[in-house]
Amino acid sequence: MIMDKKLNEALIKVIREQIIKKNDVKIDGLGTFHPVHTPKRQVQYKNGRVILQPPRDSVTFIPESE
Amino acid sequence: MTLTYKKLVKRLAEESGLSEKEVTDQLTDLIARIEEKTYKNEGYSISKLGTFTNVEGRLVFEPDDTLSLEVNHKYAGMEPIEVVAPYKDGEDEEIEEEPETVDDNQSASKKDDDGREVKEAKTGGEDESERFSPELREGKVGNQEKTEKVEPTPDDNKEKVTKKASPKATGSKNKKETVTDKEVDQKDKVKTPKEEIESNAEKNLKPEQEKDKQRQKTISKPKEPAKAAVSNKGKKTYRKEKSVSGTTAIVIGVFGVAIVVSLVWFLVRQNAAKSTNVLLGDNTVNSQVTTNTQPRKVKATAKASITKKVAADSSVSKNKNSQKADSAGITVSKTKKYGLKGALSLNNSDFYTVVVYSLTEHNRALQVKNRIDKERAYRVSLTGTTINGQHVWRIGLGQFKNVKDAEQAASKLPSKYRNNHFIKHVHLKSPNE
Repeated sequence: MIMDKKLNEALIKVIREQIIKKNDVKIDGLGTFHPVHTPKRQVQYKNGRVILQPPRDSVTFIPESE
Repeated sequence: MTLTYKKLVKRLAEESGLSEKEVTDQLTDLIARIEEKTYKNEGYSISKLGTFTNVEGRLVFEPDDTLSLEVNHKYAGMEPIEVVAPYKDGEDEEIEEEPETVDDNQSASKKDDDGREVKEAKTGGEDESERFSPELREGKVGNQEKTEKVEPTPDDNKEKVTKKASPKATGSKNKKETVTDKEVDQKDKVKTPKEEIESNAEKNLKPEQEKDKQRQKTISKPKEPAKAAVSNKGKKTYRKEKSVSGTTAIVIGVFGVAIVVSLVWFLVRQNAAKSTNVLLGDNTVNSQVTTNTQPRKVKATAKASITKKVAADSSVSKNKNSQKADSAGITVSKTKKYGLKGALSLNNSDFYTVVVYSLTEHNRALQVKNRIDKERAYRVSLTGTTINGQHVWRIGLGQFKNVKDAEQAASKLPSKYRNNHFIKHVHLKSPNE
């Protein structure tokens, strides 16, 4: 069965919108889309170099089986 | 907050116009297809969302580039900042444990060149909310205080040394200077046994107990006549101690004054920075400073409870049809909805913009905005945000439909903007909101 085009668009729109708002999206039988914020961190290398990694927002997916 | 499956189905039904049952059926079908494809080790891709794959029996989702960019829109364009340059041979190999502080020698050597950078690096491991916000500046001051407190340690040592040395020194000096006093003192002390013996001889030897008593008396007696000498000695020693402690106090005072002066200087500098309010992309600020400030700002925005305000005040909404800039600096026009150049379209209340300046003073923000308006034909927006009670004015260039467009436009901006910007989502509130 081919997914309805409008529904497909709506699904993408809603998931994107919720993730950008930092909300989890749970889909039963599949898993949860989970936005993650990685704070900035200072990294030191063995050669003495120290860098400051900028913060980052990303999205992870937690499968329902876990 | 989590969007549950029920709510998702409800939302999808509203958005697509299908019934909730139809949505549930189609979603179930979609899930089955994803599972089937991934079971066969074939990826299942949903355009604008991402790809589901099977990695060692585990369902993995790789978000689409546009989604990743949009999720990370606050920090888009931010690059890692080098705090300390490599000073040993070898390639970049990360040390697993995060260092608490930078090597002292390094920090000392860096201080001459860019001391500020090192100080900021020290703050780097701390909580992110401090960045860009006033608290950060206070934090920096705190660090400054720390470093300044640390700096005088040699002097403290000196002080300790002088303190330790002072008794000896004073002692030796007193020895020399109070030789006569001591001699007198010793003479007094020597005299007493003689007197005692003489008195004992005269008294033809009393019992031992009496002798002891007499000794005690005689020992205590000479002290009284020696009081003058002792007091003289004490006075001199006291004077010397006083002079030594005086110099110590002066040294401490001088360093104290130096600390206070440097603190005041630092605060004045901070205030000057505040008043100039140039945090991003200003010619007057060197690149290191600006790059350092960039993550702070964005950090602060991330952690602070941000209450977005429309920079344009009520006059913006009142003057929607006017062609000129209002008091907040937003130019109204009937131009295209999106674009980098031209006049700002207020019909478009929801867009992304390339923030190139972030200022705390409204007048200054207006000046900069007007300058950009005159210099270039960008559509410039001025929006306000409150971060931990501190109002910040942000000057954005262009109106874009999505982050990708904004990034593309930012890549074509002059280098001072191109290398130092971030993308911001702007939602202009209507008067009713």
